[in-house]
Amino acid sequence: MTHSFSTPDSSVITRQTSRVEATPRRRGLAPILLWANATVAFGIMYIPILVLVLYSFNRARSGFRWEGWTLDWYWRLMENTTLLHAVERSLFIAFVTALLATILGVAAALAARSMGPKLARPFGFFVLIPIVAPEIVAAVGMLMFVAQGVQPIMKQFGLTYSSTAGIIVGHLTVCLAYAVVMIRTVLLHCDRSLEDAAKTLGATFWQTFRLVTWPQIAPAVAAAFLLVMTLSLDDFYLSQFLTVGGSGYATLPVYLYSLQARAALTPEMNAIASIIVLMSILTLSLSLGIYYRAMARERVRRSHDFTPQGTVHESTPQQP
Amino acid sequence: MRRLAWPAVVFLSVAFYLPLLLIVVLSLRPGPFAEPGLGSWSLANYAEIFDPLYLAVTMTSLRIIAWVTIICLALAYPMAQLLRRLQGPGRVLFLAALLIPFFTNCLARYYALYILLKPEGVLAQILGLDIQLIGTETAMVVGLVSNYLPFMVFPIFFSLERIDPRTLEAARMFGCGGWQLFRRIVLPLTMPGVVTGVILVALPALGEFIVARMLGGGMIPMIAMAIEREFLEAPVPNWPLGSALCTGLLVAVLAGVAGLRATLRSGDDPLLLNS
Repeated sequence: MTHSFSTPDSSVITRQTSRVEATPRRRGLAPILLWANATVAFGIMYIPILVLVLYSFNRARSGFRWEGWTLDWYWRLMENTTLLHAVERSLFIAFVTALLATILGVAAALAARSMGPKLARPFGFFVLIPIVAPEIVAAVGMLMFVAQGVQPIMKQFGLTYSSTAGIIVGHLTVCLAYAVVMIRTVLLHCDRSLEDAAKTLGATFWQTFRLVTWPQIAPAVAAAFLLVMTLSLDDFYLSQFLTVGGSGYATLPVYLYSLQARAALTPEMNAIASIIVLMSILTLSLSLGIYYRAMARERVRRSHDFTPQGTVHESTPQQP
Repeated sequence: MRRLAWPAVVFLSVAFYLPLLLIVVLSLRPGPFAEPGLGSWSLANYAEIFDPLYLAVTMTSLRIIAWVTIICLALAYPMAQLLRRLQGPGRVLFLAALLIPFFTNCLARYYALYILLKPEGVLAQILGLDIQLIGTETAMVVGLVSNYLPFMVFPIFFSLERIDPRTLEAARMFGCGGWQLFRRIVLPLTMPGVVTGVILVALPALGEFIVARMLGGGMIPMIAMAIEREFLEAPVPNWPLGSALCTGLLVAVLAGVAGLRATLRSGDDPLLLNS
């Protein structure tokens, strides 16, 4: 099993102590130091977020003195049409990106599985380079491509460039890689003999996919869908560069950046940022929940498959 | 079934690789106002990268990245060890706590640090001090560490998990323990994880500019900020020069990945790139 860090093998996550403890639990200083270190690390990661959420409930209009609780800033967001448009647009882009990324991702993952290692490796690299390359480079390249290639051509045909479509294409390049990695990992766990059996019995490619493969990978595809939505909602660089010169509103992170760049620091911004954090946490936990449950179920199924007959009978006694 | 690869290949070729090619082509054009189309070619933009201005920017970027990588490594290695000791729900919680920042919008998180660190911000009020942190390299390092730390923990954790307990058992039987065990056995066996972590922290951090804008106050330029300037901000945008900077960054990053991976023995790839 390949340990790819975005889709860790769930057995690593939930493994119980069935093996020899690699390092004996030493009493004394070491565990305390480890926990102290972890506290510092989690502090660096979480304190800013907690402060942010806390201050989004602060009554004070300016400055950072605490003046009591309020929900005003959230209510006020409801009247901010620019913001509402940005949210709507972010969600639309994320949804379409996720849909396309999972469709293309399933196709690419199936294709990669049927390749020999000689072809699968370069193909894997080809798909993964968009993650490795700095996002800003990709963003700049696409900006120039749009400005010098796409826009002039579209003008010839009397069309205008839609930055929404541009951003979707941009997000898709990066998101596709994540979707492919996740779906490939699950495909590796799938039982190919079932598909071979279906084929032997005369099922067409499409029938095999719909009735045999899809039920096995559906939860992972759902998880990939949500993960891609998270990534798309989070993206800043591609959205920022591809918004320029286009029509329409900014996405939510681009809007937040433009506010900060104009030093328009208002308590509403804390509320906006809190909502962004919350949205990420929600989609991510949904995605992880679905993924790990699917992996766990798969493991249970497999452990039954490979259990020798005798032990299965012990747990499910048959009527004599 | 291999035909199913074509949509992805065609899409990425047009939407990703063609724009990259365009960057390289444009970086070879002479001046800021070069018209599209074939014409004169020059390496002048690459000569300009070695201008003292950009060299200073590069040095600042590298210094910040070096600090970030060292601090991440120092914090992440013990975290990975702690994570390996945890079992059951504790482990799941620990992992979830690492994954949440990993996928939370970095803009929102830099903004959160900004309100914490800004003059008369939360930290300044709590401590009752008049401190100026925004616009310092320290603030940027803190921001980047908070953003990239999980990227270092996961690969180290996975290579720790892959150590065969019998190896440690054997080492202990021969009287190897404590520091020696770590130095001679555990550390060499987890080097793939460390190298992968460095790849995942140092290289993406090199392409950041929000952190320079938000926490560096725009005063401490990083490479990515220089690129953004040439494309979006400058009064006279110089796309060919920006393209040359992009090409330089891309080559540096890909060379970094290749170089760091070359230090690993084949088959020691805990991550991503071999799938």
